Amino acid sequence: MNQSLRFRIAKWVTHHRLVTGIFFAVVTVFFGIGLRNVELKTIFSDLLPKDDPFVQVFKDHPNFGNPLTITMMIKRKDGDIYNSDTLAKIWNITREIDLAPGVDHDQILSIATEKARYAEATPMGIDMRPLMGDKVPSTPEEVQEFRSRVDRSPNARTFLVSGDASATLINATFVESRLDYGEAFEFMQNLAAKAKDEHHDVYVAGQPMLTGWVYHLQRQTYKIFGITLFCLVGALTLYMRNIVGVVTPIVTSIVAAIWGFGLTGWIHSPIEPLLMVVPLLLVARSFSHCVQFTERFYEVYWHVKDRVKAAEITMGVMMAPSILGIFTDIVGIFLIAVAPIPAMQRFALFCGFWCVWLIPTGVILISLLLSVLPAPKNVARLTGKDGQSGGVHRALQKALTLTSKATYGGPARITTAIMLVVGTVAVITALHIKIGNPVEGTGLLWDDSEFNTAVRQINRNFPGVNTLEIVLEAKDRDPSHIVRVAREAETIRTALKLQELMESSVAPPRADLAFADYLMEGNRLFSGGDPKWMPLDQNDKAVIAAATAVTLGTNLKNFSHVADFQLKDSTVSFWYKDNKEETVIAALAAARAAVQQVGVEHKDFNVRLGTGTIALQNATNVVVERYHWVIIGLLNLIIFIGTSLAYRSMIAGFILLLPVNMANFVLNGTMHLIGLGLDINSLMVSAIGVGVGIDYGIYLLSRICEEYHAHDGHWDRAIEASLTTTGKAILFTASIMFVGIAPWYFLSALKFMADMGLLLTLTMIINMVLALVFLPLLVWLIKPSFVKRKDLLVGEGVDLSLFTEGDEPKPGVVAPRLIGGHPVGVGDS
Amino acid sequence: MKSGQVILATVLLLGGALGMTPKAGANPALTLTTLKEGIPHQALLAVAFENKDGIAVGFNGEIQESNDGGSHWRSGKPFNNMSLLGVTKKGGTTLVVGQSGLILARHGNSAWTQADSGTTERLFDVSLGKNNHAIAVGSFGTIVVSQDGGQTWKLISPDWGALISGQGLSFQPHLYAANIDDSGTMTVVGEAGTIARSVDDGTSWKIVHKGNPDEQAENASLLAINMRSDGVGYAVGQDGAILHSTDNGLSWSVQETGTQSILLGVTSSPDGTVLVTAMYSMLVSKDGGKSWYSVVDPMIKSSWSVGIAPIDGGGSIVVGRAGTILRVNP
Repeated sequence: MNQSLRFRIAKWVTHHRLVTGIFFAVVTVFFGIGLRNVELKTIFSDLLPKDDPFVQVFKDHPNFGNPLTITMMIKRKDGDIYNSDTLAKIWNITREIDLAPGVDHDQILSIATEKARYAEATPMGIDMRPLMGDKVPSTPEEVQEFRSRVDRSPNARTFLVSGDASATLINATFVESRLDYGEAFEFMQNLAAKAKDEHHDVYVAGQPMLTGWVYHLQRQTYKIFGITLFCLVGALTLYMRNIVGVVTPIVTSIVAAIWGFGLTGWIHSPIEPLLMVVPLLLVARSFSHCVQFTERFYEVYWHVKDRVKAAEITMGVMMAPSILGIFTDIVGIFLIAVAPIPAMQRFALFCGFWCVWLIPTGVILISLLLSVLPAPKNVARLTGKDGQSGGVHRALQKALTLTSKATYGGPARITTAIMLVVGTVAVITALHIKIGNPVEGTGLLWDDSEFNTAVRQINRNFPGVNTLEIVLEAKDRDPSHIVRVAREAETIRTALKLQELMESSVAPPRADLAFADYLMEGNRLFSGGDPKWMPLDQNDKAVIAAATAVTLGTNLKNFSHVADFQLKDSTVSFWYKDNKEETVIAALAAARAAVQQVGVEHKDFNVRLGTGTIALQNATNVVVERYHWVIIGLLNLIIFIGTSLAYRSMIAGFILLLPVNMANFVLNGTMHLIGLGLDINSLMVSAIGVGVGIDYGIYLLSRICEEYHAHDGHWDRAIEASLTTTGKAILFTASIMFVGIAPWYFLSALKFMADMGLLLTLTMIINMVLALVFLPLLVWLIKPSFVKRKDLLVGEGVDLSLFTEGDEPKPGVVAPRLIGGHPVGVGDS
Repeated sequence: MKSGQVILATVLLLGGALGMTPKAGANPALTLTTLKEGIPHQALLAVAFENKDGIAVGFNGEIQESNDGGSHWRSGKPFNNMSLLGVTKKGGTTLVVGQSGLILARHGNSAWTQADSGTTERLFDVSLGKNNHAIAVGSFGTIVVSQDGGQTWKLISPDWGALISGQGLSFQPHLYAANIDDSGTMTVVGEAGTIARSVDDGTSWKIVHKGNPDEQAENASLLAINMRSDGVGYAVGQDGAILHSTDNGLSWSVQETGTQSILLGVTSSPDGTVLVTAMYSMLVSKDGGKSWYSVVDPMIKSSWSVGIAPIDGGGSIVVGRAGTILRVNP
C-alpha cells in the first residue's frame, strides 16, 4: 500500500467522510455568516498608489482640483450663445441646477449667476455687476450689452465662454456629506436630456458624474455575471454530458465562492466591483480543475469499480499536480498586492484567498462528492473505453496530432525559427507600449461614452478638465492657528513666479490661475483701473490690502478653487488639453523645473508638487511602470523555485517559464498594436496570466513525463500522446475560461472591465497556443533528464493494484498500473 | 496671432450703437501686425522710440528693445524684478521708472544705473525734454524732476489740497502721465480729472483742468497724455474720457467718444489721426477727435494695451497684456 503523505491523507478523508463533510459544512456556514457584511464599493482614491508623493498631496488637499464639481457645457450648434433663446436656456438650467440634491448653493457658477461678474473702475468707484443681472437679456440691445459685459470680464471669457462664443459652461460643486452620486447623476442626466434640442448640444462631465456613470453601469455587471455563469454551466454540460459531472464543479465552486466572499465580509474589506472579472476567472479555473479531477476519477473508477476507492485514489494522485497548479494561481494573484494600490491589495487578498480555497474544495470536497454521488452509467463512453468518441473529440485529436508533429523531428527546426521570429517581434513591439491612459477622459469608460465625449468637447472649447495643481502649503498645520499664509507677499511672489516659469516652458499650460491673479486685478480695480497698478508692491502690507479688498464682503468659498477657507493653503492651477502620457510627462517636467527654481522650502510654507488629474495620472503611470517588472520578476522567481522543486530540476522551471514569459511579451505587443497602454488592468492581467498560464505547461509537462515512460523513452510518441490527451484538456480549460470572460468585452459598458475581459481572454489564448507548441518544442530540443525520473511528485501515474490488494476480488476488475489514465502491462502501450 | 501676422481689422463705426450719428462713408481700414507675443503673465506697460531705436518695459523688470523701428525685438537683461511702468527716450538717453520709486538711466548703450528718486512711491511715467530736463510722476501726487538727464532727481511736493479746491485738503491725486516739451513746459495728468502745468521746472504748478467731485461723471481720472509741438494735446482716461487742447495745454475741452472703456494711452499726428489704447478696445479718429471709431478685432476685444509710441515712417507701436507688441497703421 502506498504510504506517501498524499495517499495517507486521501485514505483518511475517504474513511472519515462524515466528519470531513461536517467540517466543510461548518466552515461554509461560518463564511456564509460573513456574507451579510460583503460590500461592493468603488473607492476612487483607492485606485491611486498610496506611496506616491502626488497622491499624498491629493489626500492632504482634496479640496483643490474641484473633485466634487460637475461641469455642464451648453453649445449652440448654429451660431453663438448671444441670442435670447440660448441665454434663456442657460438661465433656466442654472436655476434648475440649484435644485440638484446635495448641491452647494453658494458654488454654482455660470454666466447667469450673480457670482459671474464684470468689474471695472470708474470715476464713481468700482462698477461691479453680474453679467446677466436679474433677468434674461431678450432684446438685441440687451443681448449686445450682455455680450459687452462678458467681453470686459477676463475670467468669464476664459473659463465660462468659449473662444468662438458658441459654448458656455455651468459649474456646480456639491457638498460631500450630502452628495448621493446616484441621485445627482440621475438629476443631471434628466436636466441635460431636457435641455438638448435642435439648436443645442449639452455635455456633462466632472468627477461626480464619472462616479455616477460607474455606479449606473455597474448594475449591468450583475446581468453579465448571470449570462457568464449560464455560459459556463452550459459549456460544462456539453463537455461532461452527465449530471454528476456538472453538479460537482458547481457545488465546489459555490463553496469556494462563499468562503472567498465570506472572508471579505468577516474582515470588512470592501470589494472593488470594477475588478469583478477576476472572480469569474476563478470560477472558470475551479470548473476546469474539477473537470480534470472528475475525468481522472472516471478513469480510475472504470478500473476499480468502487466509488469510494476511486475517490481515494484520485485524490491521492491529483493532490500534487492540482496543488501545484493552484499554487501558481495563488502566487500570481497574491503578488498583485506588491503594487501599493489599496484597491488592488484588497483585491489580491480577496481573490488570493479564494484561490487558496480552491485547494480544499477542488481536491478534498470534490472527492467527497464523487464518493457519495452515484456514478454515471456511461463511464465507459465518457472515458472512451467503449472505443466511441464524439465527432468533436475526434476532430480535436486530429488537430492536436498535427500540432504535435510540428514540435518534433524535421518540422521542429521550422517551428523553432518561427518561434524565434515571433519572440523577437513580440519583444520589440512590447517595448514600445505606452504607459498610462491614452484615452481623453477616463479609461474606466469607452472612448465614445457620453462622459468621455463630454470631456473631449469641454477640452476642445475651454481650458479643459485636466489640471495640475502646485500647492503652497502653510508650514503651521495646527488647525487652531489662523495663519493666512495665502496672502503673504512671499506666497504671492512664488505663485506668480511658478506661473511665469510654466508659461515659458516648452509645454505651457492652456491656462493657469492662482489667488495672486485675483489680487492683481483687485489692486488695479481699487486703484482706478490702470494696469500699471497690477504689480503688487512686494511687502505683506500691500498684499494684505489687496487681499482684503478682494475678499471683503464676499464668501471665501468663492475662492475655494485657489485657496482654502482660512487663506492658509493655496494652489496654483494649470490646465492641460488631456492626460495622455506625453502631456503628463511634459507638464510634470516643467513643473519640477519650476519648483526647483522657486525652491521647495520657504519661511512660512512649502511648495508641494502636486495634485490634479495630471499628477494623479502620473502617479498611476509610475506605479504601473515600476511594478510591472517587479511583479513579473517576483512571479518568475517564485514559480521557478516551486516548479524546480516539484520536478527536481531547474531545467523544468526554465522550460515552464519561457513560454509564459513569451506569452506576456506577445500580449503586451498585441496591446500596443490595438492601442492599449499599460495600466492597472494590465498589471493585474500580467500577474494572473503568468500564474494561470503556467498551469497549461504543468499539465502538459507532467503528462510528457509519464508518457515518456509509457512509450519506452520515445520523445516523439510521448509528445504526441501528451498533446492528444492532456492537450485536449488544456483546450477545454482555455475554452471554458474564454466562455467565462469573453462576454465581458462585448457586453460591458465599462471599458475598464471590458479591457480586463479582453486582456484575460488574450492572455489565456496566447498561453494556450504557446503551451501546446512552444513547450513540447522545448522538451524536444532540450530532452531534459528529469523526464526520465520515476519519482516525480507531479506524476499522475498510479499502480492501482496497490489499492486493491487485500480487497475481495471483484469480477471483471483488473487492477493495473495506470500511467496517465492508461493501464500499463495490460495490453496498452 | 503669431508674430508678424498681419490682421486687417475692419474699423466699424461704433457711434450708432452708442448714441452718436454714424459718419457717412465710414469704415476705414486699419492694419494690426503682431510683432511679438509673450506669456499670459507678462505685460508691457510702456514703450518709447527715438528714430529706429525703441524700448518697451513691463512686469517684473522686463525690457524689450528694437533697433529697426519695431520690426524685431530682443529681450534685455532685467535690472531687478521691480515692475517698470514708464519709459522715455531722447538724445540717446533712456529713462525708465517703476515700482517703489525706481528710476533707471542709460546713456547710449551703457549699462543701466539706478538714480535716487527721493521717493518710494510708485512712479507711472517719465518724460525727457531738451536740455536734459526730465519729469517723473507717480502715486499720491508724486513729482520728481531732473535737470541733468536723469542722473539726479529732486522731489517736488505741490500742495495739491490747496491747488485743487473742492477735493479736500488731504487730496493727493495719483499722477499717471507727464510731458515736458521743448520749451520746458511740464504738463501732468492724474486722478479726478487733474491736469496741472508748470513753466518753471516744476517749482510752481497751475491746475488747468480738474474734475468735479459733485458730478461724479466729470471726475474721470486721466491716465495718459500726448502733447505735440504744434500745441495740440490729448489726455485720456477712465470712462472713455478724452480731453483735447489746442493751446499747449492751457485749456482743455471734452471730446465725446461714446465709449465707457478705460482709455490707457494716446498718440496723435498732425494729419488728424489719433490712436487711443484701452482696456479691451482701441479707438481711432481721423479728424482730430471729432469722431471716433472702435477697432473691431478679437484680439483687441480680449486684451488691453497701455503703451503707445509713434514710429518713423508712420504708424505706432502698441504694447500691453501678455507682452504683446503690435504695429498699428491707421
